[in-house]
Amino acid sequence: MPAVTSVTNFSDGDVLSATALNAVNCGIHVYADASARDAAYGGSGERTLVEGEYAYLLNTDQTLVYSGSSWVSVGVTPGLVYITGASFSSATTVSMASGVFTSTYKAYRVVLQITASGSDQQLLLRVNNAGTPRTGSLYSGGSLRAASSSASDVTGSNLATSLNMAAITSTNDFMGKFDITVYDPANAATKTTVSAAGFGASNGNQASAILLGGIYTTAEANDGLTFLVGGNITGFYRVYGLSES
Amino acid sequence: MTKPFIQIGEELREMNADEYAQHLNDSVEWQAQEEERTAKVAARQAVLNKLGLSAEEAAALLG
Repeated sequence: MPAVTSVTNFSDGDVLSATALNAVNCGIHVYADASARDAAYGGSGERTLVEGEYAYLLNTDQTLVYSGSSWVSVGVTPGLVYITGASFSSATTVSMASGVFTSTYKAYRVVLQITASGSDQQLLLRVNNAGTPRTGSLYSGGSLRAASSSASDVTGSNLATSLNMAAITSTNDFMGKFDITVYDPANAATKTTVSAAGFGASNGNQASAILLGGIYTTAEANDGLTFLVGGNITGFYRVYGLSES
Repeated sequence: MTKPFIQIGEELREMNADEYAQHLNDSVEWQAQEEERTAKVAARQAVLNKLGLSAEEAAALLG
């Protein structure tokens, strides 16, 4: 918005100039989504987008203001910003689409909830390159499974083809619920690391608290995660970016 | 034969040939890992049996 120095008080009979109308043609314009908002500026007969413009997006219920370089949320900045999610049913491999992790955030939270498992099996994790899981022998890490019985497990691997998260079961409710943090995945100069806390099963199929830490041992940019099992799983995941301010 | 299903984003489909080949490779590796885990569980139980301890007693002993 052009910065104003006074707010006009219009009277009956005043000639309404383009300058005056443009000064009051502000407020919060309502758009279907960000694409519609972006398309409303800069075209023939349209105003150039400048700092101070406001917008409301119907698809996300967000109010935003243009900072001069980007659209930012008005009001309290959420600490967790929802990025994407998906539900899956009887899938052997569940992979995020390409471009989920970007340089916008240095850390991401992934909440994975498995609601059904086709068999007692291990749940494994890989990082993705352009939507394709990296399958090299480059994953190192371990998981601690503190079981409800005394048979707790410590499982580790060095330079394996995936990270072993936990056992999950097809019966009872030990099907796996995880809160996963992925650190700086889109940075090509760092090695993507993950940590996770959750609930699953021990190798003895006991209800277990799960603690996981792992690293993809090559410094490369990664843009998503893949979850794998030998049988099939049903559930859903949600991905959030961790705001830095 | 229907291949296992892979979900990418919102799309669920049958694995293609490359994906299925990777899955088969993975399965061989996982089977080896499962056998190793099973062996560890069996070895642990064998030690407990030798000591005449239950798993709970072992946990109480080790803290």
